[in-house]
Amino acid sequence: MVSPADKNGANVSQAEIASGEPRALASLVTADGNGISYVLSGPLKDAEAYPLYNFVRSSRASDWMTRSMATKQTPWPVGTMMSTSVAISASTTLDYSELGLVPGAVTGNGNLYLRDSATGAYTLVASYPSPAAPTYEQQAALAVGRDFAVFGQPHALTPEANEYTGIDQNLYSFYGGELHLLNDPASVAPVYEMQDSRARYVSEDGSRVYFKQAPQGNPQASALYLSENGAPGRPISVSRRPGDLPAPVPAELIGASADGSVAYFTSFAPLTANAEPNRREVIYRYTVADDELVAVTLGPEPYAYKFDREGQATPVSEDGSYLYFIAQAALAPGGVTGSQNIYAWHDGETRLVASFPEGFQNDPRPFWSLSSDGTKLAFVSLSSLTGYDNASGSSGCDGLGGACGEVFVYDWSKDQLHCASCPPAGEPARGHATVGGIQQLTINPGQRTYSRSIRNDGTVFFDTQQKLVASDTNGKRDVYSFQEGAVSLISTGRSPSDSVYHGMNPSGTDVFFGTEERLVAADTDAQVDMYDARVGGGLASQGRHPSTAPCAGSGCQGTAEAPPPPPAVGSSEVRGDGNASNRRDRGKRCSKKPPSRRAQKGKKKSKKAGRQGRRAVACRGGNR
Amino acid sequence: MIALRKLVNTFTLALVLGAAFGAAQAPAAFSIETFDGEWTALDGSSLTQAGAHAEVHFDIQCPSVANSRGETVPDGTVRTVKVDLPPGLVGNPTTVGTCPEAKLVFNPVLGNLFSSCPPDSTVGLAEVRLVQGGLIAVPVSNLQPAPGTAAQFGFNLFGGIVRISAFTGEGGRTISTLTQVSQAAQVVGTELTLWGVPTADAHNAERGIICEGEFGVPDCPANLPPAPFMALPTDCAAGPLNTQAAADSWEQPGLFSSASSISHLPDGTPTGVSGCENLDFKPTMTVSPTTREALAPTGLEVELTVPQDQNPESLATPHVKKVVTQLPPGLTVNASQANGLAACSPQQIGLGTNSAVTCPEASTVGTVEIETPLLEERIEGSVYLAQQGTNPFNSLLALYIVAANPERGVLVKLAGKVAPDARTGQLIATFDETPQLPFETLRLRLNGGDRAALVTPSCGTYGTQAELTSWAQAEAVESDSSFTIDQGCGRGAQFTPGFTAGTSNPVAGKSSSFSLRVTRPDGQENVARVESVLPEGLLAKLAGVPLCADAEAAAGACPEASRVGAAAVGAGVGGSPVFVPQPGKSVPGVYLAGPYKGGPYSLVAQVPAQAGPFDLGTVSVRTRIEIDPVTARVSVSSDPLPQILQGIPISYRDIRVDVNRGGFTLNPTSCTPMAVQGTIGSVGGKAVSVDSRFQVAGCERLGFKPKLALRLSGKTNRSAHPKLQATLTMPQGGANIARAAVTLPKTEFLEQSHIKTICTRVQYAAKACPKASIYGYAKAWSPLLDKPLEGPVYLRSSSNPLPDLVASLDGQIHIDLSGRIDTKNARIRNTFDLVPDAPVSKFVLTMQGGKKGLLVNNTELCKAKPRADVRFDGQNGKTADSQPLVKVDCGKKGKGEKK
Repeated sequence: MVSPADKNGANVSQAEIASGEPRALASLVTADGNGISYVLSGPLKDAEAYPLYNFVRSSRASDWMTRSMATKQTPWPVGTMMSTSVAISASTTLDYSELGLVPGAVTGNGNLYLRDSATGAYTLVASYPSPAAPTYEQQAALAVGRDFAVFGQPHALTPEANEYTGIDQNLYSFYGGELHLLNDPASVAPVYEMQDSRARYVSEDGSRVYFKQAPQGNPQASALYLSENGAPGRPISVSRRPGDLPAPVPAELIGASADGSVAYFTSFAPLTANAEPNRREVIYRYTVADDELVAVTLGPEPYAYKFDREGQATPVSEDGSYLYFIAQAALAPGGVTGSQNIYAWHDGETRLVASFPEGFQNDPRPFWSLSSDGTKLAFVSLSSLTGYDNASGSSGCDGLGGACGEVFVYDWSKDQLHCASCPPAGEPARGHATVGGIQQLTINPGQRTYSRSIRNDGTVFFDTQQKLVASDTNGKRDVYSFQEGAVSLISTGRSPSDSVYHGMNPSGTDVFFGTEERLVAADTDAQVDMYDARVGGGLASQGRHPSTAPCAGSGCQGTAEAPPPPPAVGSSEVRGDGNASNRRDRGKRCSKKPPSRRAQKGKKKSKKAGRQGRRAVACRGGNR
Repeated sequence: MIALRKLVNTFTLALVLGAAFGAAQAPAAFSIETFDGEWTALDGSSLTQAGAHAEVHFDIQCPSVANSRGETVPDGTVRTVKVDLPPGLVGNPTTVGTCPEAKLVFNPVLGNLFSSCPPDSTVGLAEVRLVQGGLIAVPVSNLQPAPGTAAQFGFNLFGGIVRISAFTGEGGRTISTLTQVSQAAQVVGTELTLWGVPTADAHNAERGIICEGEFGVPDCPANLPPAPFMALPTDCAAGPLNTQAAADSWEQPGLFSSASSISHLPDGTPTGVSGCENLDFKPTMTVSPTTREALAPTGLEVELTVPQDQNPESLATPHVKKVVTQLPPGLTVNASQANGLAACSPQQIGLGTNSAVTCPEASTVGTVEIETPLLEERIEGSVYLAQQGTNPFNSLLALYIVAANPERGVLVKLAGKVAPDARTGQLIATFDETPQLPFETLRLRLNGGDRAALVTPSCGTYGTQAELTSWAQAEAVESDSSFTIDQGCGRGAQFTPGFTAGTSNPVAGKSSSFSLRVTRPDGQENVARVESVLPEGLLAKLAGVPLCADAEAAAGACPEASRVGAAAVGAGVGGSPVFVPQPGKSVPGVYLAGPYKGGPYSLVAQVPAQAGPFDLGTVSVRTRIEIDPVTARVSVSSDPLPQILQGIPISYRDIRVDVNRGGFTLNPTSCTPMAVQGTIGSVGGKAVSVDSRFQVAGCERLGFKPKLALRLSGKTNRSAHPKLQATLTMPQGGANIARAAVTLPKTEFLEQSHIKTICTRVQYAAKACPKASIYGYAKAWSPLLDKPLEGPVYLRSSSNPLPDLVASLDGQIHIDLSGRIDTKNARIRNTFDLVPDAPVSKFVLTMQGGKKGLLVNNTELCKAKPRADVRFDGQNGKTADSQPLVKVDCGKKGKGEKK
């Protein structure tokens, strides 16, 4: 059990609904699996505050320890804004507070801190006079890491920055212990448009930041820039076509490698020599090392490159070598023009992953997860892609045409598509299966986190209400794994309420899920707890939970005491006559007459017989 | 836009709501400034009718202070609010729709600042006072309850959820807790109104800012038929009702400020609910065993039904307060139930608290299911046996009913007394002061099976009477039901007890423990008494055993020194009777006591009736010991066995006595097959003769060497009447004498003229022999006794030509040793044909001489060297013949003559 036994009556949040469609949650899991940040429905007892988004951090050493990540509140009305986290990563948060919590920070100022999630320690990023009535949105942030933060601010935090009063913002990077202004002071950075963390605007180490920059008053003209190591950004959405002016043109980042060395963006402007100048939206691949721009998609009219219509991102592998996108053009064999087609791109090759029925705009669902190496993609679809009919007879799947979303897994190495959540025996679909969860952990609506759901070996973790194995008996949502064609329960299938997938570490050795069921002895309440299904088993200190199956009838009573053994009665087992010889019986006198000669002879025989153990009676009477 | 309601005159009842950002650089102690509420009809008029579906208003105000800018700000930030509602004030969330929590803060059109909850989930309004001034009104929705809560309501306040979680507390009080007040919700006070009938059209204008996805709809129907939600308490006798509230702040977490409110009329006069006579209460109850088999272990099924009026125009059904159930005679507690049973302690049940119940699983005696209109799910649980004595009634029997639905945060604990009639075992169960919560059905099932809680009566139809009282009216409603037992009807008339008895080490003459066992097949007549006659020679060594005094025996407090054995008793109906003693419990003892009911000795069986969790005290049963004076055969006869202990019938299944004191019991020295005989009596008056084969072995190895010395004293001349003394000595460890014949020397004739007075048999039996019938004296020493037996020797009439010579030996026991006098070859012979198989180390028989001398010399003894012929038969079949020389006092002539 990851969450604390005493949660002050709160539950681990389980529900995230988008358009009436349940989807998996996303909690932030550290790479080693020893830390997770997630949302509780109420404050812990020792919480110093309870913000709207009440997330906590559990860290594992010998056992799991949980701390509230709520930042101490600023007394009102001295403060003009609640203390809160505005950005979060698995290791760090970027917190705003008007309390001076470390040297250099001034109470009453707006203070931005990096906060170590494991220790709770603060590092001052900036302290500036707090104007009246700032808003949460003014604390928009792109990313935060152990020692860096990238965020937008209307206030001038560096000498060259502008002081804005409207929605315009400066883009800052706290990197290398210093605050840097990334955007051109003559331009603004529309940070709100760059907050899909899956697009990796900021590299994992914070050294590279892709951002959009637009002239003040003309946000539509935002071009894509790259800042490295805190230096001012340089434009990358610039035409390489011979003869074109090297002016930045509008572009949208849709994905980058983890280190930021490779980026994919779209632009309607033709930027390469082979791009057609007809304002077709083209995906370009940019490599930092050689400042090269390559058009990935060419040919017929493509459309809607983003995999996820809710966000700006599309799946890109960590090394940037794999890309998955959607186009309504036939870009590979099997692709259907006018339909939604999912394509995979790698090393110049484009393959069709799936093609959805023409005119059906609901697919794929905006839920996906990509393996670190990019060779496996898990996504949700309402369509029948592998033969299983997830529409006919389905139940519990309101809206979206009544079909139930199922989890599909594409394997580039085998060029195969499997349905992970489809019932093996073909039973009618029941409820949406979800993968690639999402959750808003901070007040900043752009700071959504997304869960990782698939390993490099293709094992995918998902949750579904569908019963996929016989031991799933609760009729509730349960967490499953799909590995090499076989599904297995991760939750028990017995919980009285939904068990929901929350996330995993990249290697997949730790898989986190929330459940109300008590799975260890240390879980003593009826609340929803966070559990870690980990390779190597649970923690002995938490104990195994005794069977919760109630006893029934006299089976509840202790073992019935067996009757004591019957007493040994040897005297009832003796047989024969142990007397030396049968003495004359009494109670009936013998004849008074002296025994006859014959009788005397018999008496002698009797004595002899007695010596021989035989019985000879001279005078018989009644038995006693 | 929803019109804001003003608080009408405050009239009590309050739930608190509120969240505020506190002012102050140095926060002062947080407190609740006002806490009040009211119950009204739809038109706003006050309402006190018990069970009415009223609009229930709650209001909280936090104190305000002026900050340095002159602004009025709350003096603290509410962190948690707990409110204990008065018992009986309940809301039924199942009559309205529910809203997923996510929809409460998600509107696909307007964003997360607005709810998209369905209109039918609206149960009231929250009117929030903002710190900036002004009020906003937001609908309160019935949320899908979170695990652990009975119900959960909430409203969207600036994109955040303010949750109101309802739990079931002590006595069924509803406890509402607001732990979800985010500091982001900048409010200073709230009035919360929960509607009596939320789905009524009267609330269409208030139901929601968003109705079916549209904003600002003036008329938003719930699209559900009107159904009651809130209902006022139904206890008119309770008077003004108290509501407790406590709150703490984020500035001083854990430091709770309390406030209370007494229900009152608009003019402030305290009042409770009234009009209880208008409430309808028609419960029914059925009780039936789980088997139709007679005299069999049985569970019990009880179903209490209380129809709940769900008409919004009617008054709510009053809550059940007391249930008294009288089971029919014969449906009694089964002692077998105690086998493996445990009990639940006061700490484990935690009555009056919401603490987790930790009753041991082995204390579970049944299950319970409750269907309440408040929950869609059933509340299920267990029935536990309460610890004897340390329960709320200090009674032998009590039950705890624990029904819980952890998912709904419902935990109901009830304690009920079960009173068995001490004489008949008839049971009366009483559950009183039950929580003021509505339920439609309560099903209680006591476990069946071999260790079932109860035993069915014999065949017939039986009635159960129940008296059901509500909180509204003092008069009980009676509900009778009946059941029939019509299977296995013949068993109860049978009585075929089993009997086993004997010694464990059947070696002749040796000490061995002796055990006796009586068994009774299940379902037959109960054992009432046990009698047994032991084989001849199976004796006990009384020497050195202190006796348990009568007073000690009566008190069940015999000293350990008098213990001679142990006992065990199996009792109960069914295939798994409970045995006493149980491991770790006191071992029943068998003690030697003194004379009892004419017997020289008695046994006292002291059985601590400790089985499972029960301790019914010590049962003391006394058994008379009689010893046949002729054969020394021992017989025992028990007092009537107790049939019921503190109202719990004891169905004996196995009675065991083990006389195992070292060296106490002695085997016979005869190896003749014999039997331990018995008579087992039933409660119905039957008496069944039983026996158990008995035989010892090894008699041939016993020695048999009795020595007899004869002496004639007194005058030795012819015609003199000498005194005769015969002294028998027996070596230890040999066989005992079975028969002894002594033929006196031919020098002695019988002086018939001296046979004057003879004791008749009648006189002898009455111990009224004339003194003149005494002709001698005898004394016997036995290692089994502390003191020798001794007494006069009588001549007693017989059917023989000559009277018998009878030694009446008295002491710790009484033995009559009867000798037959006859002549053999003209010589006088005395034969003891029947000598008890008992060890005697020495026996001295002295016959008077002189005028009472029965012998007369026919010659001068000193010249005769008279010899006697002696023959002893041993109990082991061996014989010992001798012709001992009779000693004569030749130097003391005439001395015996004087006597």
